[in-house]
This record gives sequence, structure tokens and C-alpha cells, in this order.
Amino acid sequence: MEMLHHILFGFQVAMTPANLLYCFFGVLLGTLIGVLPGLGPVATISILMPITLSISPVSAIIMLSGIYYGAQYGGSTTSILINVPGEATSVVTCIDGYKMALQGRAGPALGISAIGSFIGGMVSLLGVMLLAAPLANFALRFGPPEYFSLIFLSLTIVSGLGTGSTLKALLMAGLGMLTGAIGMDMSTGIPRFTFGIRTLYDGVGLVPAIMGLFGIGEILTNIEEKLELDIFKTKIKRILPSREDWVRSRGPIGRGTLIGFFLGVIPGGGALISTFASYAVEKKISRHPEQFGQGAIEGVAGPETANNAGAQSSFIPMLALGIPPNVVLAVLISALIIHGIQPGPLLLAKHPDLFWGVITSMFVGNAMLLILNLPLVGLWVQLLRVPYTYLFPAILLFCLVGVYSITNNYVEILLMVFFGVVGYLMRKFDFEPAPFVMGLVLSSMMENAFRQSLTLSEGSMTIFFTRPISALLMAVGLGVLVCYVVLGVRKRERGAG
Amino acid sequence: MGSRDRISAIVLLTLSVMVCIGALGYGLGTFSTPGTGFFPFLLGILIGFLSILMLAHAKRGEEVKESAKSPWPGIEGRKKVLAIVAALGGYGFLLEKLGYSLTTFLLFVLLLKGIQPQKWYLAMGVALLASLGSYALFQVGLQVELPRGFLGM
Amino acid sequence: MGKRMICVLLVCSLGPLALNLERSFAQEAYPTKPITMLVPFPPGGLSDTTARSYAGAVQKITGQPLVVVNKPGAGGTIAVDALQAAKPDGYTLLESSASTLAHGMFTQGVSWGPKDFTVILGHSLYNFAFVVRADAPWKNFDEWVQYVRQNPPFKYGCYGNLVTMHIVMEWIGKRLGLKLVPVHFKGDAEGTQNVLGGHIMGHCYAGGQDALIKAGKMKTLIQVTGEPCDADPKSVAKLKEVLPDAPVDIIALPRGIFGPKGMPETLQAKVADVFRKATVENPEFIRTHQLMKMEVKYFGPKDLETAIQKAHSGFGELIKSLGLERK
Repeated sequence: MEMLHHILFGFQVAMTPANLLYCFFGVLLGTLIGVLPGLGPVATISILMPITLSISPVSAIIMLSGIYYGAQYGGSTTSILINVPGEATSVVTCIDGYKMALQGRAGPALGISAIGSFIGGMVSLLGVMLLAAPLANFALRFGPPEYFSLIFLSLTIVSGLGTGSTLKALLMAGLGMLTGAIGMDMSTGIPRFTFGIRTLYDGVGLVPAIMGLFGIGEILTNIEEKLELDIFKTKIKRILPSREDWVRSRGPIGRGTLIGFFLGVIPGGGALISTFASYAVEKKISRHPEQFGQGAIEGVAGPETANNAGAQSSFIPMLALGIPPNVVLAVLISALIIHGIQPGPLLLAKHPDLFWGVITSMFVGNAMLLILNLPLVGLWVQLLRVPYTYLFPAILLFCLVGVYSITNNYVEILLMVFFGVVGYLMRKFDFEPAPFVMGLVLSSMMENAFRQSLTLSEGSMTIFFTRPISALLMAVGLGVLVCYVVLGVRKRERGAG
Repeated sequence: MGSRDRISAIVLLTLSVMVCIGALGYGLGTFSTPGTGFFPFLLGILIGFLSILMLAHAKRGEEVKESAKSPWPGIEGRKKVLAIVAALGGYGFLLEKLGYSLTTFLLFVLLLKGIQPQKWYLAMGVALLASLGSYALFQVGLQVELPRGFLGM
Repeated sequence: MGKRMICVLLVCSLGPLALNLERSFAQEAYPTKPITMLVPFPPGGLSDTTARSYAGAVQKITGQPLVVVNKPGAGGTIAVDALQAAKPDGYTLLESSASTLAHGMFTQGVSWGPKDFTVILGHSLYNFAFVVRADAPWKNFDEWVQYVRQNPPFKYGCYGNLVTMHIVMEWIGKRLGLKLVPVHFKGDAEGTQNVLGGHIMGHCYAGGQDALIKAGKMKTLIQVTGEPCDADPKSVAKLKEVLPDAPVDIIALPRGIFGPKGMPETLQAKVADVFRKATVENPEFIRTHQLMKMEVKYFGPKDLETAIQKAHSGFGELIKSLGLERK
């Protein structure tokens, strides 16, 4: 009953005309930012921070949060339309989403994406309200060994991404992890594989890699053909998802919500891992797994739902404990501090209006996003009609500005071009870029978790198997690996025999 | 299929060997205190192992598909790809020297004339529109700090 | 012919005069265009929050915007590189801990040192402390020392390698004969998460531990600089009191604003004036830093310069004696 009281209180705060306006502005801006590759929510929130000083803290946070989860909606737009993921969490959407766009089904892809995100977000928020405290404690139980095992498990799943062979996917993941190892070693301070380039000291940036591999690689591959050949099927088949699309997406959306909600609470990689966990699960239980990678709508519905559900549940560690699970929320915490509010375990007690106001505003925000994005689908689809001759320079420009705006360092542009070439070659040699990106993102997390674990255990490897959560994750991961080997051997026997 | 896989397997194998050597140079440390080279070394081994597997697969594999259409572009395509790569690389180097507006303008002119040649006035027009329009959008609208070159823009 | 000659002569003689007027006007009026503030860490961090907390004030005071540009990486040295590439005209500045400048040569292996900067001012101090779980079995510093002596090694969290607190802990370990092993976390968030989750007993902080101490989840074991955030600050041991020979002055330096080498003195004074008003005399700045429990204190350019020099000369020896030099 008290919960109802809190919710009503929250709505009182969130539904004032001023806050509604701020919420709307935030999610609108977020969507735009998400659509523009590279220009991330981090930059926008930081830029807007001083402006927010003239409004109340609650209004400011409502608006800034709106930018964050609004960007998740927008990020999938570019993944589907031009194969450039707005964020790492949108990478998986590229795999089937872009293929759907090439088949003239960009509309349904975008539509299902928006609807799935909405449902995922709403249900996840309910979970946040009811389960914030126990979930926060659950998240805390993930120490270095648990992170290592979780990432290990995720990487075994990664080979389920895309159409290619498991072997090639694992190779790409390994290569990605190696690339992630470039940079200054955190424990010893020794620069690894940096070839003296200062910019690489902090490692290879995710944004140049993603935009290079996906965006530029794709463009390089496309311009080989004559550009009169419309890259995107002229006949845009339909704007809205068909009935069949709906039926096929129901399950993935439901499962994606759960996967995203629970994994999103884990700070650091949770939301990202949930996207490809969802993809892998859907591919595994699908009746037509061979369609995955060719434009299966489940491959869009599941991950998109998961990433938005995860975006909402990632507020839990921040609101309950003051621990930001990613860079964007770290900036949000900074904004809180500048407004004179101290984030931490006492936030709920000291500023209930902020806590409940923000949570209920997210309900409102998600609804606004759905209303905003669905009509926009038609608009985006029209964009694809622009002749590729003019479209591709525009895409290139967005990538260039996007990558430059992150660190104002032109070396990142060169890095992106390098990855563009790599992405081009990858496609030629029949490799998938998605596992590479996953490896890149997870590499340093895995290595740090590994070393931290070994320091904690004073050198003993058993730490990964003696702690319950870690042991469970390792067991599942090893099981998956065994399955691959067994299946692989069986296939070869069948082939030879 | 087969020969392409063979090439990539060999390339990756070579890479993994180089990585392992480099990693050894950084020091592997011990199990209780893994050194800087520990993780890269393991990764090198993993990649090496997988590429050997791939090589074995490729040798055994579908020689029949050799005759299938080569994925490599003809000379025209190759020129276009190189042109774009060069243009983008040039953009990176010149951006801070010439400033955003000018560099973007040049890029567009190059892309519109070089890849699928458009008429001069079209190319210049769109380039102008793109560079000034995007400047307005990013610098003014979104307050992104775009580099100003020696011309101050 | 004649008229033209006269024109040319006139222009040639007036030209330099005009230029001079231009220059002296420019010197009088600072700033006349936006100022770039380089920040060596990503958005959301302590340096970034600090810069943004005075950005608004700078605009109010000068009418020109302060643009915060994040250039993270390499322990804060990438931003320094950017600073050094800029003109010493007061329009590009750096918000940084003075330690980066004083110690960079030893901790990051860069070639520059304190002489390569213009010091504008220092505005605040970090709140360096080693903080442990509230339910930890040791009630104070001495009990902890005893515990560590009996149960080596002791694992503690730290937010980076060769950062101030890491060096402090190494020094304490050597001084008291304790075996302390650092577990390197990426920043405070990860450290806090692990302490709350019980995976590690304590973590080093530079500010920002206040919320957790107030919530009763953690307590300060030893305070290095600044005031403890605990409810009863007197009960917390201060490093300088417990171990008077602790080289705190060499290791822990204030945070401040810096410019590239070669800024003329008048310009330096003007810039210092603007930023003094925007920081130590600005209530918003003070409030933000109070929340982060970082003491706001003014350090004039000369004082800070001296402190940095002193720290620089002493640091090399210290690092060597602790065996932490970069190989």
C-alpha cells in the first residue's frame, strides 16, 4: 500500500506541466542524439548541465534521464537504416535490422523496435519500483570473479551471433579482445601494443571501432557496385509490422524484457550483455534459426526490448546506492552534485521527490517516446529514398563528426578509417564484425576482473569455482563450449561418412 | 571459399605468433600476479589454435566453390574504395588545420565528383549546403566544438 | 605618382601604430572570445564536475562562455599535451590536479615538468582517505595495523596505479612494515561497489566518500588530507598526527587551473582574477565541493608554484625508495 502512496506522490511530481515539458524535451533530444551516430548522450548531458542550473534539480534530472533512455530508442534507428550502431547496445540490432532494411522492411523493423522498447521499458520500470532494494543487493554480489565468469559465459554465447561459422565468430571475438588489450595496462602502467601513439594509451575507442567496422565498412562494400543500383530496395514494402511480425515478436519481447531487466542491474556490462544474450536465446529456441542474420524480426525484437529494459533497470544501482553503472549515469550523478544533491544510499530518504519523481517520469517518458517514434518511422523510411550518391557522403560526415566530437582528437578519425578498411576486408573474407565488437568491449573488463580476482585469491584459480554465482556461470559457459565441440565433431563425422 | 579461408587463417596465425612474442616481451608474470603480457599471450594462443583449426577445415573443404564469383571488385571498384579511404584519411589530417567548414566542403566535392561523378554545379551546391548546414546543426544547434582552421571557421 | 607615394607612406607609418593600439586593447580586455577549459578525465568525474561547477560563473563574470573540453587518457597527460600545443593567450586552460604536473615525469614517463606551465591558481583540495566497511572488525587505525601485522597480506582497493593514494599506502606499508596489496579498480564507482558487496574490505578515496559514510555503510580508517566525513571526525586518525614524517606535502597537492608556458604576467594576473572569483569566491562552487567534502582553499600562483616545485624534487627520491619507478 505504501508503494501506491509513493507512486501517486511520484506522479504528482512528474506530471506538473513544467516537468512534463522537460521530460518531453529530454526524450526528444535523446532520440535525436541517438539517431546521430557518435554524438552520444554523454556529450549532450554534459553540455546541458550548466543550463539546467536555473531549474529545479528534479526537473533537471527528469530531463537529463530522458536524454539517456531516449537515446536508446534513437540508437536502433541508425542501426537498422544505415548499419551504424549509435551505441554498443545497438550493435546486435544491426545484424538482422539492417538486413530487413535492405529487404524493404525497414518500417516493420523500426516499428517493432519502438514497441518492444516501450513494453520492455514499462515492465522494467515496474520491476524497478517494486524490486529496487533486493535487486541492488543482488547486483552487489557480483564481485570480480562473478564478472569474469559472466563475461566468459557471454563470450561463449557470442559465437551465436550472425550467420557465419562458430569458429570464425570465436576468432573475431578473440581478435576483438586482443584489440581491447591495446593500451596502458591498468595495474602496471606499461603501455601495451601502442606503437608510441599517445592516443592509443587509453586503448582503442569503441566509437571509432564501431563506426569504422559497421558504417564505413558497409559504405566501402556498397560503393563497389554502380550507385544507380539502389542499395535499398525501391519498393518499401510496408511501414507497419505485419500480423506475422507481431506473432513472431511476442515471445522475444517477453523474454527480452526479463533478460534485459535482470542483467541491466549489473553495473558495467549488464545492459550490453543482455542484448546479445537475448539474440542468442532467440536464435536457440527459434523454429527457423537459419533466418537469423538474414532479417529475422526476432533478432530485432528481442535485443531492442532487452536494451531498453536494461537501460531502465540500470538506474537501480545509481538511485539506490549512488553507483553509476555506466558513463552516462556518471554524468547524471555529476549533475546531481552540482545541483546540491548528494547521490548515495540516503538519496531516497533525503529526496523522495527526486527518487519517485524521476521513476514515474520515466513511465511518462517511455510513453512519449512511443508516440514520438512511431510516426517518425514513416519519415525515416523516406530518408532511405535519397539516392545513395548523396546519402553515403552524408553518412560519412555523420560518422566523422560523431567520432571527432567525443574527444576532439583527429587521430580518432584516422582510427575509424583504419577500422573501416578492416571492416571492408572482414566482409570480403566472410567474417562478422559483431563478435569483434563484443570482444573489444568486454576485453578490458574481463582482464581486470581476472587480475582482481587473482589478487583477491592470492593466486588461486579456485576462486572462480568456489563462489556460488561464479561457479554457476562458469559451469554454464563450459557447458556451452562442450556443446559446440560435440556438435562440431558430429557434423564432421556426418560429413566424412 | 576454401582459398579465402586459407589466406585469412594464415594471416591470423602469423598475427597470433607475433602477439605471443610481443606478449612475452612484456612479461607474463605468475599465476598469482599476472603480468602485462599474460592476457595477450593467452589470447594469442587462442587465436593461433582457432586459426589452425580453420586451416584444417579449409584444406578439407569445398574446393568446388572456387569457381564461384570472386568477391573482389574490379579495377573500377578498387579505385573507388581507395579514393574514399584516401579522402577520409585526408579529412582526418586536414580537419584541424583547415577548419571544419572548409574540410567538409572539400570532402563532399571529392566524394560527389570522384565516386559517381555529378555535374559540377550540383556537386558544389550540395557540398556548400552540407558543410554550412551541418555546421549550423552541430556547432550552433548542438554546441559541439568544431575545429576552426586558420581561416577561423 | 607623388600622391600614391604619400598614401603608401602614411599607411606604412600608421599601420604599426594601429597594430599597437590593437594589441594594447586586446591586452586590456580579457576575455573577448570563449575560453576553452581542458579537463583530463571523462565527464562525470571529479575534475569534470569541478570545471562545470564554475563554468556558469565564468560566463556571468566575463560575458564569455567557458567551454569544457574533455581530453581523457594516459593518467591526465593527454589533456596536458593539448594544453602545451595551445597558445599562451589565456584562452586555453587546464583544470587539473597539481600532482599530474609535479609527478607526471615519474608516474607517466612524460618529458615535461613543472617549469612547462603557467600556474594560474589552486582552488581546492582532495579529500584523501582510506575508507573501510562500517562493520569491519577494526575500530581504528591502530587495531587495523595490528590486524594486518598478524594477517598478511591485506588487500585494499585503489582507483588507479601510481596515483596519490596508492603511493601513500605504499609509504605506510613500508614505514610500518605491513604487507599491503592494491587491487586496482577503475575509478571510485567500481571500488565502492566492491566494498559494499563485501568483496574487499576497504578502498582509497579522493573525495566522494561522504555519501556512503553518512549512510552508515563505511567509516574512515585514516585521513590523509582534509577533514574526515565521519560523524565524529575527532575519532578518526589523521596521517600527519599518527606518522608525522609522512611526506604528505610531496604527494598530495591541491587542484587548480593552469595555462601553457609563457603567459605574460599581466595576463596571468587577469586570468587568476577571473577564476578566483569563479571558484573560491563563488557560492555554487563552494556548495558543490562541500558536497564532495573537498575543502575549498585558495592558492595563489606563486605559492602553488613553490609547492609544485618542492613536490617535484622530492618525488623522484620517494618513488625510488618505494621501488615504484617505471621500468
